[in-house]
Parts: sequence; structure tokens; C-alpha cells
Amino acid sequence: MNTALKHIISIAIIIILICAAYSNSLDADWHFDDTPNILTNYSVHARSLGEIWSARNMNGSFPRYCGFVSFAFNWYFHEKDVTGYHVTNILIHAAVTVLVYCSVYLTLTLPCFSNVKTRTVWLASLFSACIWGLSPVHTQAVTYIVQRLTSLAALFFMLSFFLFIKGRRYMLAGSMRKGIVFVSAAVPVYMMAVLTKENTIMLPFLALLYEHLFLRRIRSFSDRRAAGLVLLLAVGYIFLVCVRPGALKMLTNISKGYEKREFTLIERVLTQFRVMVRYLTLIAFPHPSRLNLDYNFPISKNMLTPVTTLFSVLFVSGSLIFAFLARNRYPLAAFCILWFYINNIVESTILPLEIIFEHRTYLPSVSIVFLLIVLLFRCADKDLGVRRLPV
Amino acid sequence: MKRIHRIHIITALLAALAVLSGAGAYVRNRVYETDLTLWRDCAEKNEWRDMRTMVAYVGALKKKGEFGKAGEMLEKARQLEWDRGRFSMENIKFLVNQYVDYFPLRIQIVLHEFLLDLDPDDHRSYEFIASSYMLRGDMENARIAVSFMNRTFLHDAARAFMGDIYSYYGCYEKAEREYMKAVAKEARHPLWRVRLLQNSAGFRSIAEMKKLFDMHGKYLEPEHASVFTEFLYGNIPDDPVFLVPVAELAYKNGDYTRTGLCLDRLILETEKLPSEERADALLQAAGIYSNMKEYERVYSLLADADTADFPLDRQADIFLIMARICRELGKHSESGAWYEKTLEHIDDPDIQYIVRRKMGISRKAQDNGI
Repeated sequence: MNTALKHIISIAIIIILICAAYSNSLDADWHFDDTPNILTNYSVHARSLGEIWSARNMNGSFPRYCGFVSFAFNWYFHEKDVTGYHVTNILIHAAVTVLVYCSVYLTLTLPCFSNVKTRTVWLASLFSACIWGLSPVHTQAVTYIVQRLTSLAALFFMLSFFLFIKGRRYMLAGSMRKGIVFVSAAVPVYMMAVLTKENTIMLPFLALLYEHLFLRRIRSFSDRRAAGLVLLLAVGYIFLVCVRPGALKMLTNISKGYEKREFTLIERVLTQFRVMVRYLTLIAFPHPSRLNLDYNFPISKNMLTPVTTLFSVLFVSGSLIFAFLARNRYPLAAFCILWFYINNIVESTILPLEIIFEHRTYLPSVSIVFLLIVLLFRCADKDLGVRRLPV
Repeated sequence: MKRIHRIHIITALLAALAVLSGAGAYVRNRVYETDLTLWRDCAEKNEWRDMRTMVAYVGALKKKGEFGKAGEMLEKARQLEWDRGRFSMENIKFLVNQYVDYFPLRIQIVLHEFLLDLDPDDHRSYEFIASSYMLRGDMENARIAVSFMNRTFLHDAARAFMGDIYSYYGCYEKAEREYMKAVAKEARHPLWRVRLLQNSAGFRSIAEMKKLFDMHGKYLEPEHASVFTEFLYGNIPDDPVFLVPVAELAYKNGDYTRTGLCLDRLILETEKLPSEERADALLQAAGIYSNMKEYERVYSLLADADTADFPLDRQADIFLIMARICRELGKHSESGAWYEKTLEHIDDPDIQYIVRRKMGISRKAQDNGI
């Protein structure tokens, strides 16, 4: 079978499976935050195509502009009929899954994995995408309408990441012009991701990590290329602060945000170690009986109350230390572990947000599913994920 | 050889896992079907110990009309918070919001001011305090209410709130200005337009109301349209300029009884109108009845109408509708006759061709004896 045909078949399989799994969600009702964000947010109630562009968040600001424009687009065609919104959400999810497939495939066909068999690469990419896309843990991000903000942000994030990998591959192969086009295209897509949901802000760090672990063009963080990427990062963050004037204030007023919460900053940070472990177990075993929209998650008061806090701190620290120490011998494992934690940084650290939500695993879980599948395939192909990089 | 076997086993294992994952997602999706299924699932998984989940479940039960069970659950939720011995601000708010209606006004204000002390940025507390002051029923307290409302970030809601207060005390012109400001600040908020129209009906002339209705009627959404049609039906004069859009709004909102009432009034009213306006009103009424699939009513309405003095193009429209309605009712020979009659009034050969094609279908149906 030639490569193009393989890709077409894979993408068709992904889309068919996603549509089948979510076929019963088309009439799922409006819930919880759908009301303030869509039903009573009159800025998304577009009556003409021109009005779609003036959609904004429920409090009148613009930080999640792309997501709210997509709601306005749905409102223009479907008003309160949920079917149109669900169809859009499912299509977005299918598109993200296809991008997961493409990104995994591009990664496993990098020169550093040249010894891995073509069939193994294809199967690992296909199963990573399918198992991630079909995981019940993502039903919150797909079936709960307003959580399109998460899936759409992930779509832009993955597209930007895909364009970055593609561009860098072209550059490494000597096609500088093509490479620059792809990498440049990744920048506005990244900004769209940030303008959909703020948790995607960490993408440049991951690009930097990818560069360091798989492409080895950045050998140390004082490298000129690293400096270029850091500059790009700074531009992105300045852009964010410009489009969201409250962003800086929010960061400086973190302690004020905790006055409204039942937990303190320290308690939240401690609890998040347990939340990370819970997320990992949900990704590994997403049985519907374990899923919940609103977890009544006990707060960690100190390292020993409950005692699982200490174990969780040890586990998270251990995995991070492992990722750092094994970055040369097991670059894939290191990258996947860091992808999970870096993508959780915004929502699962110091900001005074709710403790736990399943949709927060949407983007971070990509790497965990990928890593588990690679580990399985390593039983058949020992070269996968361990080969030392050509220096 | 051994490795080939391994990869087959892994592939089979992962394929099974993918199918199981898909089935899991399918099962989980069912939980999101309604508010009730979702919050019951949450409450069960939280072992009926989480107050927020319980209150959300109470809301879902209320929405479904199960008020008895909702009351029981609310009491259970309150007890839960009581038993914990420690009150979180969010939970106090939940409870205050659920029970506040039962408290005397002064206590409501004290409670909300207490909430505001806890969270000075919470606009809901400002709204609640303002509502409580407004309900005290004098202008002095109303002014205090406005001052509280002005401190929320919902500027359009604050203007509309001031409009409500002025309207409540009969200052309709001042109220209208406030509603206009609210509409200007949030052009897509249909409720402010409803309030504006309702308030203006208190002092504006019919001609001015027509103008206002033309300006704002099209922005109303079904649920607001329902409030508005009810209001209009009780307040507007028997004038097709009002009755047709009100009937359309009521129809759009699925309120067929009110649609019928408006159309009945419209048909009665047409007798007093000049021929051209009468023809238009009849056509509009027939159009709405056709949409409601009330073909018999359209038939009797148009068949009884005296169309002799109508302009020719309106006559042609009426005959064409009659031809279509007869076809819907299975009166094929009569349908053909109406088409013939229509053709007599149409000069444009392209339109004649279209009508003939329709006649062909009608005759064919007649030949087959359907």
C-alpha cells in the first residue's frame, strides 16, 4: 500500500469512528455554562453574517474571540437548535484527531527514528489518534457545547504545532523557503489558539522542547536558535497582554481571586498534584462510571492531609526528574511527560480556578496516549522511542 | 517471526481498545442528554454530598416540573451545608438565592450587603440589593437601588433597571430614555426592546407605537416575542399593521392559539379597509394559515372573499393560492379552474409558463383520478 493511500484510509477511519461514537450526542441539551456563554450572551446572537464578527465573551471582553465567533456562526444558522452546535463540535474533534495522527506520524518519521519500521510508524500513529479521539474522557470537551472553547483551541494548537513540525522538516531537508512558509503560518494559527483559550499559550515552549529533543538544532538554551524562539514567545505574550488588558491585572491579583474560593493558593497547588494523578488515571482508564462533570474533589490541607498528597508530589516530581534525566536516552518519553505537565501549567497551578475538570485533559492527554501506545509497540519494535539522536 | 506475531497481537489489542473507547464515549454521551440526567449522574457520583451539584439537580427538577422532589432535595442540600459546620461564600450565595424570596425586604438587604462585604466585586449582589430596595416602593429607595445597580459592570442592565424604576413610578418618558440607552449599549438584548415597547405603550400614540414596533419588533426572540405578543394582543388596536406581525411573531413562537386569535381579528378588520389593503391583509393571513397547514381555513377565507375590486396582481395571487390549497385538499378539478383563472390575470409569459407547469401536474393528477 502506498503512503498516500495509507493516510487517506487512516483519516477516513478516524472520521468514521469519531462520528459513530458521537452520533448519539446530537440532541444533547444545553447545560450549566452554556446559558451565560451562549443562550443569554446576546453578542453571539447574530442575525446577519456581518454581526458574527462582533461576538465576544459574556462579560463583554474579547479574550476568547475565535470561540465566541464560532458560537455566533452557529447561532446565525441554528439559533437554539443544539444539533448544529454538536455537529460543529464533532467536526472540530475529528479535525483535532486527524491532526494528532499527522503530528505523531511526522514525529515518528523524523531522522532520529529512521530505524523504526514503516508499518510500526503507521500503526502507532493511527492507534494513537483513534484511542485518543475515542476516549470517553473527552466527551466533556465535545458534547458539552460551551467546551468547544477547549476543542477549538486544541485544533488551532495542533494545527500550529503540525505546521511547525512540517516547516522544520522542510528546513532540515534543505527546502528553506517552504520551511519558512510553514513555520510562519504556524504563528497566526498559534495566536488564534490563544484567542480561543488561554491554556494554549505554552505552545512555543513545546516547540522549543521538540527542537531540542528531536531535531537537536538547539543544543543548549544559550543557542541562537533558542534565542529566536524565545523572542517569538515574548512577542506572543505581549500580543496576549495587548488583546487582554485584564491579563496582567489577573496575574498580579491572584491572591484576590482566592478570597472567593474555599481553598488557599497553597492548598490549590498541593491539591493539583493529586489532580494530575487523577487525570493520568482517567486517561489510562476512562470508564464512564469514573467520569463526572462536577467532582467533589477533597482539598489537600498539607502534605499529609490526605496522605495521597505526599505520594502524588513524589510521583509528579519523580516523573519530571525522569523526563529530565532520560531526555537523551528516551527523548520520546521525556517529551510526552513534559507535554502533559506543560499543557497543564495554566489551569492546574496557581490561578484561582476550579480544582478539576475533565476537559482540561483534552490537550495534555495527547502525549500520554501516544506514549502508552509507543510503549506497547516497543514490544515489537525495540528501536521505537529509545534510539539515541544523531549528534 | 516472533516479532511479527507480537505486532499482530498488539494491533488486535489496540483495535479492541479503540472499539471499547468508542463504546465508552457513546455511553457517556447519554449522560449529557438532559440537565436532569447530567446532574443526577453528578449527584450520585458525589454520593449526594456536594451542595453545588445538589442545587443544580434541584434546578433541573424544577425545570422538569417536579417541584415536590426539588423541595426535598433543596432541604437536603441546606442540611448538608448546616452539618458541615463551615459555610463557604459560594454555598451561602446558593442558599440565599434559593430562599431569599421568603425573607422580609429588610432582611434581604442585610443578607445581600453581607454577601457584598464578603465579595465586593460580585455584581449579582449589587443586583439583588438593588432589587430589594426597589421593592420597598418609594422613590427614595428606588434612587438607592439605581446607585447600587450603577456599580455593576452590566451597564445595559443598569440602564434598563433604571427604566424599570421610572416606568414603575409612571415616569414613562424618563423610562423610555433609559431603555433607549440600554438598547444602544447592548443592541442585541431583545429584552430591553420588549421593556421599551411595553413602557412606551403607556404614553405613546398608536402611530408612534407603529414606528417603534417597526424598529424593534424584528429583533425579538421567540420567548420575548411570546411576552410581547401577549402584551400587544391586549393593548393594540385592530389594525393589520399590528395584527399581522403579532400573528407572525406568535406563529414563530409556536403559540398557534394567539396566532388564530390575531388572524380572526385581522379578518374582521379587513372589512373596514380599502380594497388594496384588504387584499394584502387577506394574503398575509392566508400565508400564515398555510404555514400552519390550516388549509380548510385558507380555503374558506379566500373562497368567501369578495375579490372583484382588488387590484389584478392581488387577484392573481389569491387565485394561485386557491389553486394550491385545492390541490392540497384533493380538489383537483377546482384547482385546475383556479389555475386557469390565475392565467387570465398574468401577462408575463415566464410566469404563465410556471403556472401552466403547475396546471399540468394538477391535470395529470386529475386524469389519474387521484
